[in-house]
Amino acid sequence: MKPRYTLRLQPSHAIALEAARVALEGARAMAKAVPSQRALHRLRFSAWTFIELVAMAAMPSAALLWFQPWLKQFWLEVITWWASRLDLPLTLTQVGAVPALQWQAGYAGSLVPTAGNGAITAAMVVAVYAGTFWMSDRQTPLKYVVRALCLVQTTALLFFMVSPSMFSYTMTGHLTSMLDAGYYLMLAVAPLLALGWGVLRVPSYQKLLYPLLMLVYFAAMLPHKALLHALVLQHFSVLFMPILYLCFGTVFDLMVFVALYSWLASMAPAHALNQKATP
Amino acid sequence: MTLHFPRIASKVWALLVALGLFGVLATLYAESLKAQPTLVLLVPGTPALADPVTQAWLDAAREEGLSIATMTDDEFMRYGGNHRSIAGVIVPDSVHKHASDLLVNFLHAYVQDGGNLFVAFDAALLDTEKGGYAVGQSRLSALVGVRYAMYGQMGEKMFGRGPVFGTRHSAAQLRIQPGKFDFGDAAMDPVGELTTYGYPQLEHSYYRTDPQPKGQSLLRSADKDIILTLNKFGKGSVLFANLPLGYLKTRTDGYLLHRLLGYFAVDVLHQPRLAAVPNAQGGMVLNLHIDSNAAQVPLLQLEDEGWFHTGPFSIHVTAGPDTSAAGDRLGLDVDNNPAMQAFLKRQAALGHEVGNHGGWNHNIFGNQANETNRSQFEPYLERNHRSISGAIGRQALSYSAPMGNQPVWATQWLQRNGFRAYYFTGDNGLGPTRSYYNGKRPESTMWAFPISSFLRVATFEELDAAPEADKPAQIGEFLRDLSTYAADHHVAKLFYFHPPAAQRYAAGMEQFLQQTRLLASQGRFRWYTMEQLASFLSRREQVSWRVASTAGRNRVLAASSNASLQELSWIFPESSATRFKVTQGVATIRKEAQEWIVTAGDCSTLEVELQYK
Repeated sequence: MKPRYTLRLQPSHAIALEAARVALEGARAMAKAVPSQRALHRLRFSAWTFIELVAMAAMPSAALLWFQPWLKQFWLEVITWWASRLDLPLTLTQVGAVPALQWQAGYAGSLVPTAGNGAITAAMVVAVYAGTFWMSDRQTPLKYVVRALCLVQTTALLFFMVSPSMFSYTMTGHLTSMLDAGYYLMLAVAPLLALGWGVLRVPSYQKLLYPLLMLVYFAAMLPHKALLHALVLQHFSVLFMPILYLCFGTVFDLMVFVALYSWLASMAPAHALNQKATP
Repeated sequence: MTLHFPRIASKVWALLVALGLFGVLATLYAESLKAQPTLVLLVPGTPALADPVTQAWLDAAREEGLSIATMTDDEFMRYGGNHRSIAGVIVPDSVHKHASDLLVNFLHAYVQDGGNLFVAFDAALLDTEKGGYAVGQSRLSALVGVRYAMYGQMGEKMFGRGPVFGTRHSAAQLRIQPGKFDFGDAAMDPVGELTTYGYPQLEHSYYRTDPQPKGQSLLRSADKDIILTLNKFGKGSVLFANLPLGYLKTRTDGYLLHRLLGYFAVDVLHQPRLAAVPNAQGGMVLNLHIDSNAAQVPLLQLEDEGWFHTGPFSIHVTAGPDTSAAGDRLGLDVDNNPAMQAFLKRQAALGHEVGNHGGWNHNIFGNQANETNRSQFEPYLERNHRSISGAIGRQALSYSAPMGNQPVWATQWLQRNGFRAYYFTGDNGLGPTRSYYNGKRPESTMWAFPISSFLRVATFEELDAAPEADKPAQIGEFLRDLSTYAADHHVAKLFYFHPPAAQRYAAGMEQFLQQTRLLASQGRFRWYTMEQLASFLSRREQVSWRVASTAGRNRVLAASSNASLQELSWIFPESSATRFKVTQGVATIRKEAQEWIVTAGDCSTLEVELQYK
C-alpha cells in the first residue's frame, strides 16, 4: 500500500539521526562485554547439583533429628551448669521420661515488676523513643527498628499496669519455647542454605562444612541466649518477657541466620555462578 | 489545604507521649496506695465476688468482727501496690484455684518482705497457662513449709480423707472451744480427734503432704499429713490450712473457717475485732425444748426450785395435743392446758423468751416433714405459732426445729412471719451465724444459732447412746468449760436441753450454773436469748468501721452507723496502745486480761485515738 504521507528529512535531521544510530550501535557493542547482574543470572541444574542439594538439605536435618535427645540434654546441662553459677533458680525435672527445665516459681526473686521497674522502664522507653527524632536520615532503618522495640515495650508496660494477672506465661515455658523454636530453626537452616547457597558453584566440602559450622553456632548460642533471657528476667522482671520473646527470640535467631547467610553468600567467589566452574 | 507540622512538633509529641505514660503510671500507683490496713481476701477477678465461697469467707470474717476487704489479683499485683498497709492476705479455697506463676512469685516476695499470708487448701494450685498442677508439688510448698499436692508423684492419690487430730497445746493455741476435740477416744494418743454433732467420725478431705514439715504443725491427719501449719518464711509468716474451709462453710460446717480466720487475724496479725456480743460480755443461750407433756411436771418443779429466776433463757414449745402419732394425746396441748398457758405467761413476764418448737406435734413433724410435703406440714407451723403467740400475748420470734428437721420451706415460712432467729444443728460450735444451705446463702435476715455439742452429742439424753467415755460426769465439766470459754473469748454459745433431763443430770447442771454465777459476778458472763442477740447482731451488721494510721504509731478507730452504736465493743490487743482518747461520740474503755475493750455509748459516730506514750 502506498503511504499517505512521506517524511522528508531536512539534511540536519538526517545527520542527527545517523549520529544517534551510530551511538546506539556503539553502546550495544560495549554491552556485550559486561556480564549480567548475578542476581539475575539463571542457573541450570545438573543431576549432580540436584543430588548435592538434596544431600545438603537432608543430611544435617536428619542428623539433627537423630541427635535431638542428646542435643537437648546438652542444652539443659549447659543451662543448669550456668544457672547454678549465676544463682538462677533453675532445676532439671523429669516430665514423664523426658528431662525438662523447671523454674522454681516460688523463688522470691525480682521476677515481679515493681513500681520502680515500671517507672524506670517507662522513662527509658520515652527517652529512647524521643531520641529517634534526633537520628539522621541515614539511620532511618535503625530508627524504625528502635521505634518498633519501643512500641513493644510500651504495650508490655501498659499490660502490667492494667491486668498483670492475665500474664499466664511462665519462665519455664518461656525458656522451653525459646529452645524448641531454636531447634526448629536449626532444622530449617540446612534446607534454606541448600536452596540459597548450595546452588552456587563452591567446593563440595564447603557445602557441608559451612552449614555444619552454622548449626554448631546455633547449638552453642541457643542455650546461652536462653540463659541471657533468664538473667534479664530474673534481674529486671517479666516486664521484659514480651520484648525478649517477640524481638529477641526466634525472630532474632532468624535475623542472625539471614546475616550469616548473607555473609556466606557475599564471600562466594565471582565464578561461583559460572556453570563451567569446577565443582 | 494541608497542615504542615514543623519538625520540632514531632519532638514535642514524643515528650507528650512520655508525660502521658508517666501520668498513667502515677495514677495507678497512687490508687494502689489507698489500700487500707486491713485483711485482704484475694480473688482472681470481680466475677469471683459473686461466688458463694467468697461470700462465705467474707461473712465468716465479718461475723468474727474482723475488718476485711476484697482485692483482685490485678489490684494486688499492679506494679507492687502498697503492701505495707495490708495486714494480711488470704488466698481462699475453691475460688482461687488458678494462679499465674507471676502471682505465685508475687506472694513469695510479699511474705519474704514481711507480709502475712493465709493459704487455704487448693488455693493457687493450678497454673493459668495450662490449667494443670505443678509437676512436683504445689508452687506454694516452699511458702507453707511442707510439700503437698504432689501430682507428679502421686497422681489422683494425692488426696486423703479422714479425721483431723490436734494436741491439747494446739487446741489451746487455736482457741478451739471445749467439746470439739475428743482426747479420750482418739486413736492417736495423746492427740485429740476433731468431732462434730451427730457423726461417729468427722472426716475431711485434704492433700497428702510430706510428714515432716519445716514449720509448726498445729493439726494433722492420722497418716501425719499436715492439716494446719504456721510457717515462717523470710520476714513474714504463712498459715496453711489443708482443708476446703470456704466450701465447708457453704455446706454447714463453718467452725474451722471462723476459728482459723480469728486465729490468723487476732493471734498472728494482732488485729482488732468487733465483739459479737453486747459490751463484749461473753455468754450463753440456754435453749429449752419442750416437746411433749412429759416436760410439764419437770418444768413446774424447776420453777418451784427457782430455776427460772436466772436467765433469761429461750424456751421453745411444741404446742399441739399429740407427739408421735395422731391422737396419742402426748402433746402439751397448750390451747387446752391452762397450767402451761399460765406457766408460759409467767416466764415471758420474767423476761424469758418463749418461742416455737416447730410444728404442733413434735415427732410427727420431726419425722415426716420434708421438702416435698410443704402443703401438709406448713399448717403445723402456723397452728403452733398461733397457739404460743396467743399464750404469751405477743408474737413469738424464735424457733427451733423438732429433731433438727428444718426443710427449706420452713425457713422461708419463718422469714415471712418475721422470725429473727432459729436453733440450728449445722455449723456445730459456731456462735450466731448467717447459715448456708446446699452451697448458697438463702435470702434471709434471720440468724441461725448452732448448737455447741459435747463431742458427738448435743444434749443430755443423747449421752445414753454415746460411747463409754462420753458419760454424764464429763458433760457438767464440758458446760462449765464452755461458759468459761464464752466469757474469756467474748462470744456467745448455745446449749439446748429438755427439762426432764435437768432432774436426771442435776449434778452436771448445777456444776454448770455455779460456774455461770461465778463468771456473772465478775461481770464477764450473762445469759442471752436468741431474739436479743439476733437484734444486736443485725444492728452490728450496719456498722462500718476501720482503724487507720495517723501520726507516728498512733491510730484512730472510726465507726459509724445509721443506728445507735450503743453496746458495740471493739477488742484490741494490749500492745495496740497505751491509752485511748475519745475524740467523737461516747465510749468507755476497760482492760480485761491482755486486751483493751472500747465500748460505744449511745451515739451513731465514734472516733477513738489509740495513743502511745
